[in-house]
Amino acid sequence: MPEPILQVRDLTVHFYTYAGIVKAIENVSFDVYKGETFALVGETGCGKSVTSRALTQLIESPGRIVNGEVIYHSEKGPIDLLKLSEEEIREIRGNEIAYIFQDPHASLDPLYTVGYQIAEAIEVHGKVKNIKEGIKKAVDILRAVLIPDPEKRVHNYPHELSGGMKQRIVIGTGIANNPRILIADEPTTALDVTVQAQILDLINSLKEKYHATVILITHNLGVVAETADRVAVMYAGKIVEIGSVEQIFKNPLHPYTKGLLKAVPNPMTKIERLEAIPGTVPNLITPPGGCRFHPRCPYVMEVCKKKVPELVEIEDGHFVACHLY
Amino acid sequence: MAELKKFLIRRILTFVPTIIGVTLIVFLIAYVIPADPAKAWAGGEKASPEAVERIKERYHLNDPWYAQYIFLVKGIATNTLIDPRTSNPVLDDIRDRFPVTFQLAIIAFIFTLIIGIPLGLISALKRNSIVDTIVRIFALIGVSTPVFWLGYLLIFVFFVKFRITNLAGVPPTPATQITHVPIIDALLTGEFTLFKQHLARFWLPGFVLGFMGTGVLARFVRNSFLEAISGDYIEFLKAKGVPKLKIYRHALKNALVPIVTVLGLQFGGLLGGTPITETVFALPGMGSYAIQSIQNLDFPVIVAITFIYALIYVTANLVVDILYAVIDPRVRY
Amino acid sequence: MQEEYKKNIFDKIADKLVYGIASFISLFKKDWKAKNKSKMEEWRLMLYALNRSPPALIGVFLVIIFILLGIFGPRLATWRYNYFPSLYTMNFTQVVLAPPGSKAYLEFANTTITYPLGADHFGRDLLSLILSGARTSFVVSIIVISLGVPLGIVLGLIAGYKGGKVDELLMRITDMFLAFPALILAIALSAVLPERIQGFIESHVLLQKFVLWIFALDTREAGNLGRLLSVILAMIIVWWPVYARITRGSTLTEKEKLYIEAARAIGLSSWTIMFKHILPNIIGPILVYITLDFGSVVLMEAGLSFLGLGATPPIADWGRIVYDGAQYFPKAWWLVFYPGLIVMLVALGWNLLGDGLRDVLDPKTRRSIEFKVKKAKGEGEENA
Ligand SMILES: Nc1ncnc2c1ncn2[C@@H]1O[C@H](COP(=O)(O)OP(=O)(O)OP(=O)(O)O)[C@@H](O)[C@H]1O
Ligand code: SF4
Ligand SMILES: [Mg+2]
Repeated sequence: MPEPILQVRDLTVHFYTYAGIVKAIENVSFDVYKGETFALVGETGCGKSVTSRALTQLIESPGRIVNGEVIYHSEKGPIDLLKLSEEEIREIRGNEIAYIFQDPHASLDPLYTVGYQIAEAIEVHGKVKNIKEGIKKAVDILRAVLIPDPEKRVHNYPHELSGGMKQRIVIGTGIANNPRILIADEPTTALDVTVQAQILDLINSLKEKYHATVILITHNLGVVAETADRVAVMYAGKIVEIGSVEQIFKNPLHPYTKGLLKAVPNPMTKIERLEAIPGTVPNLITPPGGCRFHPRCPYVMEVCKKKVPELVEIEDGHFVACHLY
Repeated sequence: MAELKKFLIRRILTFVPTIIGVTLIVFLIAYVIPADPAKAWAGGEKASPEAVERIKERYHLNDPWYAQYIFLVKGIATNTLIDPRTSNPVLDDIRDRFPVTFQLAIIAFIFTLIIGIPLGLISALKRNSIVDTIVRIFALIGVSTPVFWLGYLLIFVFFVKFRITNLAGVPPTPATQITHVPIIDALLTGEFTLFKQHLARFWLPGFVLGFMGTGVLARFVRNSFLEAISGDYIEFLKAKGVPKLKIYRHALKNALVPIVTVLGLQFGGLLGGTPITETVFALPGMGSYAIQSIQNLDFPVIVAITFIYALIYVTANLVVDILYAVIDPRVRY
Repeated sequence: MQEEYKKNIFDKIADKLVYGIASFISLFKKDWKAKNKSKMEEWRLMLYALNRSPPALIGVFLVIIFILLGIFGPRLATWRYNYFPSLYTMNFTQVVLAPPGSKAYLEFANTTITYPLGADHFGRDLLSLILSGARTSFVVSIIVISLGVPLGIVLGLIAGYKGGKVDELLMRITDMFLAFPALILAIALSAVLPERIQGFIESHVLLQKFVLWIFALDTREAGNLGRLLSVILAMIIVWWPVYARITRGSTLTEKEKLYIEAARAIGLSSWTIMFKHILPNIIGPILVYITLDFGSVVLMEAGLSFLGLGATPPIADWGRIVYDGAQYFPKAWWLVFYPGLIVMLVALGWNLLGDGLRDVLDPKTRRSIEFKVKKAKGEGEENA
């Protein structure tokens, strides 16, 4: 029996905008097991980033985590991350749970050297006495993320590096404190195709080296097939299907997942919009009642419009939220 | 660091053409000066034609324009431009008045900074609150208030009613001069009574002159800070687990880049306001000297003072650009 | 829940205003109204948005007062600016520097003069002077803006669009002017220009008449025009470089856009592209600057005349009243207080309006305002 490291239950995040309340994610629940690579896939705007950020309370005004719990099994025992104070959660962020963001060009502060920025991540968690010592460690980290000539590169500013190099810096920052969970939010989207594979390889090898658990958010089903152990499919702020990679790719159950796989005959391409499924992602201020997918679903039934389908386990570890099952 | 040095050299080299441009405009100003002042300088209507002619000769008023230009530039550069009224080299007369103006501008600038920046940060942190609205209105009132009006209003309050400021004369300069700005020298050499005297004389005019800019600066600081704090790298800093105060430090440094530019412009505004402020507060600085010279048709002084003002402003902009490059590595290229 | 907005009286005025302007344009261009429905709609939305901001409305109010005073001020004044009560009485003390609210009997003219805001050192009524002075301030600001700003815009457009050597040259010249603190350059120019301008204006009688007329001055003042006009010219010279800079910057970004490339590809002349395609797209932010600068011109003009430059007595001018009255401060405080107050209110009006416009034109704040306004409009339409 695999051991869970993160148990998310009924996570709900709303954004209070002038146009109305955006119900970005509703009652999202899933488990992440120790040492695995857990993938979160879905169309753009379905709430992947919001979900991943809500895990450590990284939701800014006008957004608010309205409901839910995130049980993290730390070395000292389970804790609910959403109940922690600002200072307590800060100590976990970047230390035990670290992030890699999508756009390396925007993730780094342009006014500080990359060495400083990695050193800062180590220093704020008290693992070195000062920035100077941190920069010495940063050199090792740059070496670990395969940046050539690390002694010189630590003194570079972000604008002096290429996109791929910057993303290596961001990854380096992520692993600087040997995190137990690494959340990578579309780590390759902003990069050249040639660099994408290198970055994914790097994340994988680092995961092995540091025995980390990885939550990988991506548009790219090819990447999922290649690197993930388990997959959660999201649609309009809800999780519609969870299962192992084999289960999802060989035996997709939810009509949306099926469409998703059909729409992407070549899993290496990016999902922008689903041509095979007519219609568009609903607006999340007034989402459709019942099953949120029902306006686009080819199998829609009367019950779908009224009742919200719950996640049910169909086979071992394979969950789906659909009234067909 | 090598880039910074290269940037500095390049920037200082562009200083030269700017100064040449400035002398060109100053010359243009001198060139439109009518021929009549020669008569006035020679002693008015009763002046003998020979005396007028001598003056015209001396100031090259009959020469072609390029000769006049060379005469003027040379005169300023070598301090041989003579004031027809006082018969002193013009720059000597200005040198006595320069510290007053410079000190006034510095004090005003300090007021602008110490009020504007905190106010801007407060209204950024409490954006869309009452405080924010008040700062916004304060900024609009600031740019709308005539300097002379505020000056007299505050003279009425602080001098006529309460006598908490001094309006006559200027305290002496300290014995040892380091920066040639009396108030700073007094502080540096430990002459605290003198420092206090200068402060008593200059705080009100400084405040009046600085007032105009405080609100604008506050608004600018607010907007730049909000812009900086909404940057993506701020989110990444949070994800790294960086504490709030340190995140603010990052945001502040990023906000500083545009703020420094605006500070340069504001310093220009302050310099421009010195003639009015000096007139209101009877300070014997360059500005009020320029105004007196205009009344006396003493054009060489106007020309020289205009040049000096431009020189200060251009230098201030140079400093701004250097600061800019020190803060932001991206502009060093 | 969101606040509900109803069409208010100002929105109705806005409707009429837009409709009026559109009708006016249609007089010259036949089917303008039909073709530009969406543009009119956009203007209306913008005005509605402006109506939702109380500071902007106060600004509009102050600006309208200023314009009305500028046009009718000299007529509203009880006494002409060159009526000197001290000439009509032996009892000087009752007129010279008479405090606010006092009255004086002028025995040689057999009239009584009241001083609601006090009198100056010639015994002139301050209120009348302020009313007449509105014309000076108003005309100066209109001339400076309508000559200085277009000059800067045209040069900026040319520099930005043509690029290369032209750009280099124009920008070097611009930089030369921007190397001076604006007020200092204006002071120097106002000091040296008067004599030549006086000579010029005296040799152009028609122009002289026109200038006297727009400033509502008597022929007697012809000898003083040189100084007044030199301040105007000085400010024009100071004003254009900023606009050249701004316009060039936005032209550079606009030039790169696809539709401009397309326009060039179909062979439109650069002149057409610059004025018909680029200018309308960059004018929004420039309009905000213009609004704010109306206030700045009024302030600078007052500042210059406070230094004794520009308008000379007896011409009524707000800054000049303070300059002449300051020597009697604080005894005759009204000579400083009231003219300064009105300068401030006028500048504040323009600044409030400009600030409001900036909000309406800024895409960031615009969306939230428009959302509210659309609601208001939706309702209005239903009611109509
Ligand atoms: N600051 C915000 N204000 C309002 N709505 C927001 C905000 N941030 C996110 N949302 C809403 O939350 C929903 C989910 O956004 P999220 O960024 O999680 O999508 P995503 O799945 O990560 O998409 P992408 O693949 O494009 O990154 C979106 O519909 C978006 O409109
Ligand atoms: S619940 Fe109904 S509408 Fe939703 S996916 Fe299943 S079948 Fe389609
Ligand atoms: Mg995302």
